[in-house]
Amino acid sequence: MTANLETAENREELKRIVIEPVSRVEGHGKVTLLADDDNIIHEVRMHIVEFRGFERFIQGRPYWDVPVVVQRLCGICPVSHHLAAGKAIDRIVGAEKLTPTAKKLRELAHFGQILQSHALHFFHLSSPDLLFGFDADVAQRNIVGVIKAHPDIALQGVKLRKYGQEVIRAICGKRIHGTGAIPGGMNKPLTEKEKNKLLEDIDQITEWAIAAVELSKNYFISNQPLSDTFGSMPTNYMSLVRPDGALELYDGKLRAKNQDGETIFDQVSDQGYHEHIREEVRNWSYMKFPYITDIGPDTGWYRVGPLARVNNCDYIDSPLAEEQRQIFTAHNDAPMQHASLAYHWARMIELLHCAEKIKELLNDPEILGTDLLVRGERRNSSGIGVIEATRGTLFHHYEVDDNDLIKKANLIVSTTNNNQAMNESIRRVAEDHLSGQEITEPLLNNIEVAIRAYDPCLSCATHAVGKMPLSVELRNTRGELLSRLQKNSNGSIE
Amino acid sequence: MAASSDAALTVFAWGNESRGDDAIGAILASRVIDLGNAAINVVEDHQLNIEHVMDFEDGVPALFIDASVAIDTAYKLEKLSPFGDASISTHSISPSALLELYEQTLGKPAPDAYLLHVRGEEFELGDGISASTKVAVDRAWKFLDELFAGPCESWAEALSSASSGEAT
Repeated sequence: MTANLETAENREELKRIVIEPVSRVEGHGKVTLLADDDNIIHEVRMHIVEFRGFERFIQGRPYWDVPVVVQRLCGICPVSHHLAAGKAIDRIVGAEKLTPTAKKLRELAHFGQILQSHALHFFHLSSPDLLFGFDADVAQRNIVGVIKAHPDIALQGVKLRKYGQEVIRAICGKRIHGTGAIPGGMNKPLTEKEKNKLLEDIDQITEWAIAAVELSKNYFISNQPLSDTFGSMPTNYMSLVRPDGALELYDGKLRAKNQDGETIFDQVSDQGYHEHIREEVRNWSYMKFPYITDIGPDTGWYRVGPLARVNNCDYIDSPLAEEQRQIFTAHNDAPMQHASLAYHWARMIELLHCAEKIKELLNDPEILGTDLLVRGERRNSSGIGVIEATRGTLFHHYEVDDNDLIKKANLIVSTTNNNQAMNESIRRVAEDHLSGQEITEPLLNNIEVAIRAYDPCLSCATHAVGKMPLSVELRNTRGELLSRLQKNSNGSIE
Repeated sequence: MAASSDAALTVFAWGNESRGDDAIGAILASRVIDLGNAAINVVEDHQLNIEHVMDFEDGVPALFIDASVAIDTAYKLEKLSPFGDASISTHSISPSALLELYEQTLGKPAPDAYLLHVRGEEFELGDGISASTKVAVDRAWKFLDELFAGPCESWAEALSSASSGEAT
């Protein structure tokens, strides 16, 4: 653990290195490093400011409007917010037990969402680092470099992403701001024509997913010991699982395991999450730091997302992904895989799982059913919806007043759950790869590689033309600028 | 949305209606759709991303519309070229990089393409569009409305001509 790098003792005597989006639009996230005159790093902090205002944005709206409006919180995972909010509102209207068709349609949309998001992240965001190396020339280490060197991989990424979007469109009506989930069910059935269209391509999608698992696995295995140690540390893990312990993404019970694979809690109802999870506020970060209540904030933090889910589950209920999970869990003959770069491997196992489950659901006769809605009596003033979003466990918790308006909202998004873990990972990287070195772009990329492994949602906000996403500044103790690196909106480095 | 075979122009517009001036793309997309012009294929999305390479139509010019903090004027039309920048993130890609991705992955020349910058200033979650941007949107819309009032055969030339002029 690198908790000693959270707060330096002699902060005022150290140089400050800031990695920060210089957005004229809105701040998203930044990394600060404090170093002494020999560039020995004494403090590393990752600040994420993106999630300010989520609750305020939701408060005062009628509860039935929430599943639609929360999609605007994030343009990359709107379906996850849509479904988590939908589940919470189901509780409020007393209609949480959906019809079989409605539940399967929601699951299908969710698998489509995770498939397209995992594909985009792996093929177009992470593959440049994995294919060319963390310290390759920045001119090559980007998607354009991948396109030139591996056009087949780039095209597969595009088509996988497009396929997932088409699944969402078929169920929710359109790619953005769809209204698939409504309180108590779904608002439109899947047609035979839509089903057949999606089935046409699913075998190809599955083949590409199999190849992606091989690519990520081979990278991981062939780059040891780096892949085992880079930004890595033993941690706790939390995720949803089914009652039988299987991997579950849409609706399950909470399970947490410690670094040795021992159960911390299991089969906890998502409605009782707040009895097991607390959030700590720290004065240097807008984002809270969740931890497992019984363990406490110092060591009770945990990781979520693909690595946690594949580590935590007892099995995966799709045969090809399960075969890969067994290879994954056998690595190093360890009870849990703690390597941060193993997120990529686990992510591709989930990609394959999603492809298999999409096919299974499309071939399920109930998917074409038209019994989509359960009507209940409004019985609760609060509702909790928990889902395994692409990046990890996502909590939506609402309280509704007598006028049917949201009076309180609490969202713990996946990236918040990973807040401490991401900080710990970049501290490991800073210690192992940056400390004592002159700051260069490849070294900066090491920090980004560690953050990228988690696939955090740092930039849900706007992407107006002209935004400058990243800069690194090195200042002395008097605040004078010593050196500066800037990554422009087109990715170029100055 | 126009049927593919009828389209003379593909309009890509994106943004978040709940993030202040980021709504520019969505507002203008809505106005274009309301025209009901079968020669315009409107692709509206939350953010521009890699899968949009599949939304181009062969030989059909493309017009991208987005909020911009890179201009000082109300709007500006820019002619684009495929350019392999590294702008891609999990959340976005630049129009030029999308054109490059199109050429490299699909192995054919990207269509003529233009970016309509419309000036935005405030982008806070939960805010509506700012007063100054409302004016900018109306000025940009006047340009588009006049463009689309002409025959669709003239649009490509009109866009080319306008993109070489001064910002408005």
